Amino acid sequence: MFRLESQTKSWAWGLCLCACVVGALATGARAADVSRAEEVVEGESVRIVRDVAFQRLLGEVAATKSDDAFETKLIPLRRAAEKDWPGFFAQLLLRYSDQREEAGEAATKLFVGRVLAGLKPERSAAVEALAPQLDNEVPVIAAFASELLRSFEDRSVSRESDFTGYRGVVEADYRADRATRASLIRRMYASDAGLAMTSLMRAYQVRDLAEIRAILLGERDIERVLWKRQYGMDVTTEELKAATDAMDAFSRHDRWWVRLYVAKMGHAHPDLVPSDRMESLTRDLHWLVRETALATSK
Amino acid sequence: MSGWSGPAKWRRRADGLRGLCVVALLFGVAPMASAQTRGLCDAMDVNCDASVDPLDIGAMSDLLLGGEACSLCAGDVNEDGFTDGADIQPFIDNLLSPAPMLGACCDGLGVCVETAEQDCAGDWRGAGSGCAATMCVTGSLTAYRPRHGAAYFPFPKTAVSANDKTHPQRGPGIRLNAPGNVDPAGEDDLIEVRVDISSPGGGVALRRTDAAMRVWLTPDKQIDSEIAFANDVTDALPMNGGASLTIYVEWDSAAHGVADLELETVGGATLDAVTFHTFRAIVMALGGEGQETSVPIDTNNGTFVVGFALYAQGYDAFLYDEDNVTADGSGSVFNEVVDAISHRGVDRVAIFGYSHGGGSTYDLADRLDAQRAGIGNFEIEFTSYVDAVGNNSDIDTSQETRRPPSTGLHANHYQHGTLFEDFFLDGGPVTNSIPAPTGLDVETTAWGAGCTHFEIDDFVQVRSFIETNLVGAMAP
Repeated sequence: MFRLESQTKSWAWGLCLCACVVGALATGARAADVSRAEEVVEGESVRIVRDVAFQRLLGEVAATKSDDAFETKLIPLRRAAEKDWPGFFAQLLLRYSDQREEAGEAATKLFVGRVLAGLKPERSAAVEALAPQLDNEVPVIAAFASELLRSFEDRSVSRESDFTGYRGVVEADYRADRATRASLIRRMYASDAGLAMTSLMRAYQVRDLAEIRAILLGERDIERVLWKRQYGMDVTTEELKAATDAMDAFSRHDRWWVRLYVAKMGHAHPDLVPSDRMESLTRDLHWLVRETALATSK
Repeated sequence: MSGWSGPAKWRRRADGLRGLCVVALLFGVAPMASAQTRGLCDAMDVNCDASVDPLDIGAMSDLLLGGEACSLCAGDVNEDGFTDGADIQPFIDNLLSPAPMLGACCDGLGVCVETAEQDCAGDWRGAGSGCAATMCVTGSLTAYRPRHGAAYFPFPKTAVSANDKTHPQRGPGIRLNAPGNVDPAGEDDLIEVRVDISSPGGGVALRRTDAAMRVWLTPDKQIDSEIAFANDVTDALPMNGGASLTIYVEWDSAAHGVADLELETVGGATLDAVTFHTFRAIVMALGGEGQETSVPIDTNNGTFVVGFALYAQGYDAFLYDEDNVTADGSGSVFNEVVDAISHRGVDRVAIFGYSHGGGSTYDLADRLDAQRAGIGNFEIEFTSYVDAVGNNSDIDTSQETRRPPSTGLHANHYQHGTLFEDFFLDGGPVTNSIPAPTGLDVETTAWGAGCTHFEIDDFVQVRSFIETNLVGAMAP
């Protein structure tokens, strides 16, 4: 009896294993998805604890009445901030949250902007400090953190955005074998999905040259079609096929962040992503790909 | 009543009868009009057959020879109360040179007078029509400035003034609405026009001078709501007994034009007209940080005040929060301009903004210029900064001193920021701007000395400069 039950259990486990393998093959997902190093998690809610020293320094800057006094009061604030950028940005966000109703939204943002213009923090330091605040428990602070991060992207129509700050954060997580916050990944893909994908490729230290070339070439094939459309040029049949082939290959890629690119682009450019591929991404093994495909397929 | 007396009259009667014979020979068969129509009694219609023609000659002879008159005035052509020999000559004169018939004449102001047709400056209602039985309809057309989405926000609903409504540029502007137009905010390209008439139930119609104009009873062209034209005139409008009717005018063509829509009586007399011009230009006004569009327009938001002034002058103006332009120029403002160029035949663009709106003016112009190959043919005719601050984000406090790419004419006003007054916010000189050479530091003027970032956009001198130069640089 025991032996029979044991056999039955073995069959059951076997069936379950087969189902999992079939499911994984069906979506193109493989072992890379369970890599700890490329993990992304829904970040825990962040709470800012008031730092009396920082708040006093910020208050003194805000209270100045002359140009000279402003510059003078920035000096101790700069000293403190350079020792603890995460702490400084957290307290700056907290002051924004505290003051915005009383002083007004525009005036409070103006103060933040003027202080940052005076302190001139490094982009990487600012992004690293602000990224966790995307998960702040206070929605107003999380939204303002996102706005500040956007300002460090240095967006322009005539050149590519600057994702060096984002890449630095993800790379640091990777090297420390930490999961990256999903809020940061969402921010990157919302801003520029193509640049987000290639930035993650570098952050995750991909070293297989063939894989790197395939990602770069596929992204270039897709971008070429979008670029020609943007400027009113005819897209050849060959170019369109190259783009859809790239999307198809990306949608079956081992890396979740490559499939995430397809899930994101499928919304803006549905003609480049075969509907069956988009549908399959809604059942992807990676939760963020599923989430994105489902959100954009509505 | 006819009467006879004395031999002299008999001689005149005999002479007259000879004359009548001659006239009878001269006449053909055409009935004639009479100058002797008094009310509904016509002295010339001697046989009372409602027509003045050769048949009346015999009747006149009979009457002069003592026959019975068929009406109170029959034969009394000289209106002296008698039918006698004295009537013969005027009878002959009238037959040979008939005077015009009288009829009711509506003068366009609702007043009725009985006149000959050629003397009627208004709507002549036909021979024999009397004012007692005539309803003189007056009417007017009131056109409104363009809608934005389902209504007019961020502008108040604004009627085109009586002085402007037939002006080819300041009259009502209308967007091309050829098939393929996108209308991201829903169908909003039809222009609202109110028809008012003085007499409820009076019959009025519309006439157009360009077949591109179509008229609807609904702003979004619902099925069966079109008022059809035949030979550019409609049937009587469906006033349904009312004194007012709202209609919506569409320009259903990809070709530009200037054309009239006229209100007229069903008899064809023009009562009123409005002159439409199609929009070839688009004006984008971008406010400063924290400035929100509102109705009524906040007079402390100088950029929006200028935008409204241009809207009221016949421009297709749009007011926007500057954050609708992102740092790379993309966003709803860019999409609106692209839609106008791609689908509404617009080929002239003006952009102006204050503070962060100045920074957004640069970003928008930059994107339009960089991507013009995919947008279409257009020129950025005019741009303006008022104390422009870069708008990479809401916290950007840098001066925006780059001249917007490809602009034909750039105006620039700025002041000097200080910590206490405006937290150092200010614009700065911009190369090749007006007033030449780099714009105006308003603090160097008597009216702008000591002004702050928060005041500079409200000076009438600044607003007027933008408005005047934009109008000079670009027709609507």
